[in-house]
Amino acid sequence: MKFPMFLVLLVSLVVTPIYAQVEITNRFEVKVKKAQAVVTSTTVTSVQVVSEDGASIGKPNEKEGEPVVSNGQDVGVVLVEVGRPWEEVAVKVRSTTANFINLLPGVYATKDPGTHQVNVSVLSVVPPVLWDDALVTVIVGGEVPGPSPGPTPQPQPPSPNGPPIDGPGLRVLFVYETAESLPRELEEVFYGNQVRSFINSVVVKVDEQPEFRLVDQDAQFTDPNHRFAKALVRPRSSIPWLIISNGTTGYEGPFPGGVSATLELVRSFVPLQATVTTSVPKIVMYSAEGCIPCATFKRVELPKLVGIDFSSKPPVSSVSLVPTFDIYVGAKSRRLVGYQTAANLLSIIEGMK
Amino acid sequence: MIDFSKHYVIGDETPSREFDAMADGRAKGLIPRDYDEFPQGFYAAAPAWDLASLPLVPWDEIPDRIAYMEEKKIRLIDMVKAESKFEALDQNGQGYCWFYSGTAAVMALRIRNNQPYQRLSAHSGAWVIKNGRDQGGWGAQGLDFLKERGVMPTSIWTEKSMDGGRFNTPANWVVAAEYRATEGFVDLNPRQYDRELTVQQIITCYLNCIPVISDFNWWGHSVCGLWCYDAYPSKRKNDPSRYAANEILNSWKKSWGQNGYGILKDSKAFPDGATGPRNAWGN
Repeated sequence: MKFPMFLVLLVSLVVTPIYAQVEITNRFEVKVKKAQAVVTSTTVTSVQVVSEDGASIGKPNEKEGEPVVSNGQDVGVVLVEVGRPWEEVAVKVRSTTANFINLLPGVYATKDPGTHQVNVSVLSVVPPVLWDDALVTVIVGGEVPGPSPGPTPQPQPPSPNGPPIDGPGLRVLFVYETAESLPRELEEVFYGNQVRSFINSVVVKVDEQPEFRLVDQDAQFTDPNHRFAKALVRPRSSIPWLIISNGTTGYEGPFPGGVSATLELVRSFVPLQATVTTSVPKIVMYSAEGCIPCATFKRVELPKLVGIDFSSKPPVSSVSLVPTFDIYVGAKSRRLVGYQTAANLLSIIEGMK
Repeated sequence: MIDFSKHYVIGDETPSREFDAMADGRAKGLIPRDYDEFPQGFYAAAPAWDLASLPLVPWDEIPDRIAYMEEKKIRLIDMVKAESKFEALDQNGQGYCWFYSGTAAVMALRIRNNQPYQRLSAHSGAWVIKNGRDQGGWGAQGLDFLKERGVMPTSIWTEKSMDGGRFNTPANWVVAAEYRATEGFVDLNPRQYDRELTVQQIITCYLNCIPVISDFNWWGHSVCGLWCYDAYPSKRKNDPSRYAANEILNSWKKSWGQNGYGILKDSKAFPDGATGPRNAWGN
């Protein structure tokens, strides 16, 4: 005789608002609640008399035991409240560190432990068009702060002693206020091609884009942990503000002056490997097919450049006009845009020695 | 007086088919904004010009600053023209100019900010606002949407496509949010009320490398304004007509004008409605 026993586990998720951080957005409300998956186990013992040929005799005798409640896993819950029917909106809850599942309309939960930055986007799919998003922090596990709502957490800036912009390599950030006119001496620094071309040529590139930005001090970033977003929340004592990072150290402060002073300061943080050091003066001309000045230069001026290591290349991303000349003398470099005479180039090289 | 012979000019003394919006077969799409119904500051995202937030450049300084920025080539138009990847947009003969002008402004701001270059599909926003219909509008209407929801890159909404059933998805609009105009934008005075102030506001935007989304009623068209020249230096510094040479970026492909750019002069120079987006979303 066999007496099979069935163990039935009834698991219910009980959301207990222990801790909440609230971000009120313009049109939608997003609440974060810390919760626990409370496991209620109930044992059901079933006794069924079975004959030797396998036929059941009579009804099974079932006996339900006392429910046993135990604390389960911590759960983070994001509650999205909208003033419209759910079928009229699309909600996206995204985090790079946690996986959220949609339990009910407007209820999203994760059991991944840790502190997660969560982006909640709500978009109406029928008119009137509404759009809103919020950034909230969800904490799963660990210490639970008090019950009162707290402010929206700000992205954590890098350590004050570390590089001012996360990541290896040279990166530069110009911070300013678009609602204020720049000081005259900085207009050329911000908007002139000389500074822009130089910095674009020496900073690291991500997806081929130089890691150099000009940002309003109130610029908004989708990802608050974007390295420039984090650099932007570091303390500043004035505006405009210059941030340079070479991955190990850097500069944060007012602009040192105009074009020359700014270039000099940026150059001082260029990692050694990015500096072309050569004992023989070197000129790299960026040219393109069909560029008449480039062809003219090669025909007329190039023969006069005696003792110069000259090469011609297609334009790189930092080059917007051809011909462009990069001149290297020792550890110094300089970029010239537009047609140049040999005499002018040799004169500049002399000045750089 | 500046010699504009090397530019494509639309002015009082340079007859052109562009003069007559109705005779020109190309679609434009501007519906003149009714300032009684939609007054300056009407749009929540577009406060009226606030002197505290963007001080006007004094008339006395304007000629010198224009000359300085032209000499140093530090104008927004210099930056946009220097971006080799940028090419004038194409509204494809449809009445969506009012969204194309704002889209071009966002692209210009991204170039100014040295952000990754991205060609944007203005059809995405115009299609949604007009619920798939080919209809006109005005610049502030488009920019309001650009600030609220953004505009999709051409990689997810094929350029010039009217296939909203395919591309108008919430997931795509999440991507579009990366391409929003931010930092508010200023709703410039309609020039019928105070022409001097309007011109001073436009020039102030240009001198701060802010594009101006410009609606021209005479043209029935909205374009992206990028620069005003000191066209008649013998006139008084505070005479708006001194600066009546407004270089704009059109949305009729690069075959129009000079690579898509042209100068509106004299009585054609200044827009009837204008807004100035100050910034674009980060990243």
